[in-house]
Amino acid sequence: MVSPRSLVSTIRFARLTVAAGVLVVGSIALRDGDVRACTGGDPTIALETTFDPAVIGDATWPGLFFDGNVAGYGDRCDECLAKAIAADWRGYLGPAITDADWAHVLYELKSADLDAVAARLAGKAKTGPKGMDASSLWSKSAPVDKLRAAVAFVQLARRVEAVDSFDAGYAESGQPKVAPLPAPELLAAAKAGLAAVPATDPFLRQRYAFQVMRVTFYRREYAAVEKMFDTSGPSLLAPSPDLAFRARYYYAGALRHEDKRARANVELARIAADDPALAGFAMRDFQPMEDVDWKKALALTTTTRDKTALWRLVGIKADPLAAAREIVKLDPKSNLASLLVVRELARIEGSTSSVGMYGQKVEPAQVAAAKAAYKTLEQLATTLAAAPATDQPWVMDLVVGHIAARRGDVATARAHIQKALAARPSDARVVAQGKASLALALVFDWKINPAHEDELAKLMLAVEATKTYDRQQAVHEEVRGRLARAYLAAGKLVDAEMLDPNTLVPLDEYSNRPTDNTYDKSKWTDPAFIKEMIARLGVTTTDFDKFVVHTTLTREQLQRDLALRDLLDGDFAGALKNFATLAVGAAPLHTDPFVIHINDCHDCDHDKYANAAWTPAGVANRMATLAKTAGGTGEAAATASLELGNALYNATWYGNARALTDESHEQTFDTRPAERWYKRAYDLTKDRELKAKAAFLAAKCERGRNLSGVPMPTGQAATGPDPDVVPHTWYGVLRGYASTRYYKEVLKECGYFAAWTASGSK
Amino acid sequence: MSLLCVCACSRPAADERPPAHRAFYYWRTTFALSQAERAALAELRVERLYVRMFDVVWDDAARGTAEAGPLVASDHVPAGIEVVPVVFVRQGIFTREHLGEAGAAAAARTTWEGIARRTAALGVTPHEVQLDCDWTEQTRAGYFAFVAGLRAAAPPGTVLTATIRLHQVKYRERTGVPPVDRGTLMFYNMGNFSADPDARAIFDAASAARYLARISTYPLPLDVALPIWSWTVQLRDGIVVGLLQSTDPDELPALPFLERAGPDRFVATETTFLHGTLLRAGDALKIEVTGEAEAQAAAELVAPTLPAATSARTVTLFDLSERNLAHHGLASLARLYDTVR
Repeated sequence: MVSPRSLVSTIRFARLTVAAGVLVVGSIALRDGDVRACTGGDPTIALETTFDPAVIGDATWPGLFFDGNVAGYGDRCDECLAKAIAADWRGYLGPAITDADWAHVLYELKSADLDAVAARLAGKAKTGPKGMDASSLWSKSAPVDKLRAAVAFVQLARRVEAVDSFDAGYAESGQPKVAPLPAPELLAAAKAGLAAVPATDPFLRQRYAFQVMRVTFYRREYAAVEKMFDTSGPSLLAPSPDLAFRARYYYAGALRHEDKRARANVELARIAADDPALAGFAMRDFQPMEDVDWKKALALTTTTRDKTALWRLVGIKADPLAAAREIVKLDPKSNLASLLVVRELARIEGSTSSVGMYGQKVEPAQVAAAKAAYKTLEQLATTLAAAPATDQPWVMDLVVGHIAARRGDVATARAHIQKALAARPSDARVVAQGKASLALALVFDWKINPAHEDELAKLMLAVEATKTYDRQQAVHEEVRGRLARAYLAAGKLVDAEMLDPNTLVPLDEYSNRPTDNTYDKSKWTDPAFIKEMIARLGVTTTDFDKFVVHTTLTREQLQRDLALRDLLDGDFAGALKNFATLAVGAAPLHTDPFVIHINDCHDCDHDKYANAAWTPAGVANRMATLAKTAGGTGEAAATASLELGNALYNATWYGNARALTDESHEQTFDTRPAERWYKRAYDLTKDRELKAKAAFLAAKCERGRNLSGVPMPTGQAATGPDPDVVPHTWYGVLRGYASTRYYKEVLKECGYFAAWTASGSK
Repeated sequence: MSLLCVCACSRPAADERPPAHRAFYYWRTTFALSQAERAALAELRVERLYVRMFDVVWDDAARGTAEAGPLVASDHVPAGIEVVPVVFVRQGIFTREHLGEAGAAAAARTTWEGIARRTAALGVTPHEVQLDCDWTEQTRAGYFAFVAGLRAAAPPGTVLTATIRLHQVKYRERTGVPPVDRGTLMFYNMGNFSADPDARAIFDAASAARYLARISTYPLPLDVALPIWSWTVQLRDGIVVGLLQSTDPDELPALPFLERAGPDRFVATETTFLHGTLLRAGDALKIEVTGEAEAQAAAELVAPTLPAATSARTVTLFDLSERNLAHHGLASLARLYDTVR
């Protein structure tokens, strides 16, 4: 009978892991310690570091590489597990049965369908389950006897799958449920199955023996599991090495349940060292806790391989450098050190990555610590690169070259990288990493001259052409970012901004917006600069030119910046002309930029005016018309001025229409243009109500002006001046209109103004 | 007559205000109280437990929020104690790439369902829910939308409270004031993690002083949370590489692989493990203790700055554990509660 959990489990991997009997073991038998979750969604290690650990080759898989966003180790190798199981069965059933057809039986068929397959193989039915008419199971060359026995085994395995977890989910009340023990009948069935398999079929004998062990484990008979493994012999450990490792994994689980932590850790280290399919699970569960059990584990290992395997796991989960040193001491030829060396390199690089810090400045102490760690790693890698017995010496050369590159030591970097490339000339990843590291060496020691520019451009074009190289983006961003700062320092602002569009105004990582009024103080407020940027996009004479203009900035973006600049500078006709040529000029804003409130409510206006017809071009057109009226005199001019003030206020960060400038270089906190129009409205009108309104709206601008002048450190430990944002000037003016209806509304709705008046208007 | 005027126009004297509600934060992932903890709750006449239910985090694979480290209920709540579920919301979920403002309300509904499920497991019905989020100017819009969404999802009348960090008080014009009924001022985590022997990350009077001026005018009724915990900081090459939260500083002197290197410092003499954390030979362990004196100093510093309250405010100590109870003693904790009104 198939359990409800199996019935709903339609994802192939879910079936695979259940069938393999690994997922649930680790998740319940060996869990303890810290529960802090590791979440995705943050900067990835591939963006934080510029050395591709995959240069060490296929001896491992990406899950073993360092990822600071994951506690201690990487992911599991789902593919390895699937491949190992498929290979085992292929060897048993022979070429007549395709992998896909057998995988369908193994992972996907429900109990009733398995019965139907068994019936057809036994000649008791003429058809199999639906959708299997073309299956290779029915081919003439299919090994029918083996298939019958194999399907009988899968039928048993299905029964085991129904009870192979300690985790029974949660009850409606929220309490965790306790999983029932597998029935004795199931254990008896597994044992009977084992007894029925002839000695001439070691493949199935091993699989039945494994099922006996599995059921025993879930019956919480851990001493029996331990004994079974210790005394098992070939029936459990051969012929499939993959299944032997899975049995060993249950053994480790039983040891942990028996509080034999040191022995469990040794077994897990063995699994992690030699079985890629289970290495991820074993690494997760490996956890020395105290000095006593750790020393006991070291004492239990009798071979060098076991000792190095133990240290390797320590290296992966806790301290790559300390572990690599121990491994090399134990076995200079060990193939376990490369992984740890590249892990340590990634750890150090990630520790000072501004990407990983959400763009925050890296503390000097972290930089100093990284420098010390680089030095230690470089010493180890240099020694290993020169030692004749070292496994993968080119990895050590690449690491030394990369470390030298990151301190701008071009000569050392070049020498080691050339050595690595000479050893692996046709290894695309090694070649790409070498070129990337050399490019970094050049930019860390950048000198603006044509020879440097040409070499760098050629290196980067080659790196960007290597699809298998996993650190392209990080290298691209680091190289361009550093170059941009160099060109900025040299006064070449256009090239600097082309190389890294956030050079003049760094953006906040969370919001992708400037952190303060930084755009307002930048060259992006200069139309001539924007025009130069547009012109630079068309220059592609040299390789370096091509590299520079290979930017994320587009002509349309820059032309939109120009249009917005005109608008904010008061050239409404110019803005209209520019917007008319752009698709974005006709895109709806989903708000009404001419609406104003005592208390701003960005979201309310977007809800209320979601279907408003305003577009950037439409706004510019309206402002151009208003400007003509506002240029006159009298009440009409005053009203038009007020409306212009509204639109310009709303275009700032404080207003309801910042969508106008969103994702442009013209995002603004600058309320001064709006304040000037409000002042004009105030000056022109004779209407006391309008004067009160213009004065209050000008006060909002004055407040925005004050706010924009206050630096805003973030974080719990932020310090800085208390922001004094009270708009004393215009509040003082407004106080002269206390008899107006608008004044009373302000007093009622605006807490700041009410507090100011209550405090004696100081 | 003049006496009446003084009373009516000024802040009531501290001893005229009602005593604070006494509370603890419960921050472990399994709800199971020891006998000592139960006894302390009774003796201190604690009225509320603010119990962390789970963290709300971003799940890349699911393209949505997820619960991390959920609470497992394996004990009952002592009679007479109100449980307030607390959810730690990582501000990273509110980035534009993740929820933004648009997805916040839906995430809040899911969060409420999680709270309801977890509190049901504890056998309680929450009347108050507290959100803990270190939101900033950049994430305020998403977070406030999340708060609004939670209010909509929770039964009418549920009181919503939020932790308020000191920078959020000081820079309220930028970070905004969350749309909740009350705030709990976190009067800790105010310094920097540092190898510097004088640096204190839990409570530092000098750092605290920089924030005091604006507390009294914060536009929300404020409760207050005070620190009583200690921790051990792991240092390597002069920087912090780990935090040994489950390590009692008192146990360090007896460990054979540690050598004392100062009044608050030990150095590892060999590479080994301590409570699951690898210590590399040469690593330093720096102890930061929040003892009676430090906790009392925090209480005395913040108490006069709190806005006048018309009803009793809640004083919550972080956090409930046998170790913290033993370090402080019940008389000292009672004094702490009484300091803030």
